[in-house]
Amino acid sequence: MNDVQDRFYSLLGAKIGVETESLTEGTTLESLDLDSLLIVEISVAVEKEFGVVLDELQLAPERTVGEVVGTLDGRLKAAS
Amino acid sequence: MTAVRRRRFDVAVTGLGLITPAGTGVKANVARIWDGLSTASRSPGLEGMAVDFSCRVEDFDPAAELGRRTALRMDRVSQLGVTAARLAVSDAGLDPQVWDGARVAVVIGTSFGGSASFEREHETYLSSGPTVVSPQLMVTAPVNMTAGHIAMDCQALGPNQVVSTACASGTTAIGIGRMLLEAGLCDVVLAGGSEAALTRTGMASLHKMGALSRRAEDPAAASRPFDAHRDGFVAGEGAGVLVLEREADAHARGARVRARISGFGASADGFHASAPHPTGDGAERAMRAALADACLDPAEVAHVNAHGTSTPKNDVTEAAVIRRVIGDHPLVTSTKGVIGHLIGAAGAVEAAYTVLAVEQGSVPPTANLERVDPQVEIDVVAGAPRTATIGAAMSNSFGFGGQNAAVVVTAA
Repeated sequence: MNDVQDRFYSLLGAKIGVETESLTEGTTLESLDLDSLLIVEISVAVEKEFGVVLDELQLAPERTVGEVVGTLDGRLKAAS
Repeated sequence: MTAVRRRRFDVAVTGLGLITPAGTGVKANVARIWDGLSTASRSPGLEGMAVDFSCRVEDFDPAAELGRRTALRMDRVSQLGVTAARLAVSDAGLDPQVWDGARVAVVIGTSFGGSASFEREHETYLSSGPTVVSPQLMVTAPVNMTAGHIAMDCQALGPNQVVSTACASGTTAIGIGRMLLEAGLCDVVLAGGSEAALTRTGMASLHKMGALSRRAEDPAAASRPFDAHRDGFVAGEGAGVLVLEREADAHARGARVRARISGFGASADGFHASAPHPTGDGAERAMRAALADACLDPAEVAHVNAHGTSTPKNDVTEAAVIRRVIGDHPLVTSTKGVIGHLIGAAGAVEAAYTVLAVEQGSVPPTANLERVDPQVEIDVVAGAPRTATIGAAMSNSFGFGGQNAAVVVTAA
């Protein structure tokens, strides 16, 4: 597990109460039973943790956890 | 002038839910309260403060009790309130799976609501800016949310409200709950209070205004109601919920009736933001109103669970009012010696202890009461519990802002 994935999984556990052991790269956000408030909570927590602002499409229900991690990875590498 | 009822309206107390510094559940609370041992200790979150101690609910795992996702949606004040409501419903032998939720009301008292969440997010705002403030703050911090969460948790779908009368909030909630039953607006009320506001900012303010005990060298001896050497209250957190039903309904379903709420009185001092009226005028009117509402003669009141904060002013003033309104015969206690001052939850938790005192025929001692203040000319129970037949008792609560409330508890 890379560092970004580790941090994102921890964030999902701490902020929205997901059991991190149950997460896989293919887990969709939709399957985590997130309402709109929790989606915003994730985007806020991501901005705080990574300094990256994700838009609505990047956190759309059909997105997988792996895709979000990939987006974050790319943005962080581009910024460094 | 106090209105007088011709006929008393009793409501049955069929369930108690307590999660306090004395423990979780009735049994744990009775053990600690009747032992009269203080729960005050140094607080992990208050290091470096002039007053670094409080009475806290220990060993509470909100995620285990409520589920991780649900717990994250709540401030601690709601986590405690929902837990107390669950305990009360269970104690009453009610089953939310089958009850008619539309006839179940919730009335919860709190003074600060989710202010701890607000304080935490304000720190985030100051350190990291507005874009990372949690969107959930507006559903965790507002004072109404504890009652809302209780409704969501157990499908109590009738009238649902939070009342705020500072340190009298829990008592006010019980009074309003009884009114809802009398008005026929519901059949069951979950009435109580919850508070979880032991924040650094709040504690700093309480300290600066001179309300808190400064006995930092010995926290366990700090809350000492009616004692000659008291110097302020110890702040606490916790929640208490009472299940109230019309007596006939309780008997019809074969419920155990622990005791009855038979009177309620409320008043305002209209005098000062924090100090009680010098002669206890407002407190006296609330107590007299509660007695009149219960159609009771003062001589019939055998026990008083006093507001008894352990502040120099309250205890002397309240003692004088108890003597004036009821007399020097009742056995008086202040359970704040054990659990500190639970602010908006205090009245509910103390009313629950009053119910238990009536039910058990035993008055718990006032912790740390070693030498009664010579100005306190009432019979305050100290050292060990005292056994008595208690037909009627009163629980007092007096809040900042001069908001006063008293309930009368009678034996089932």
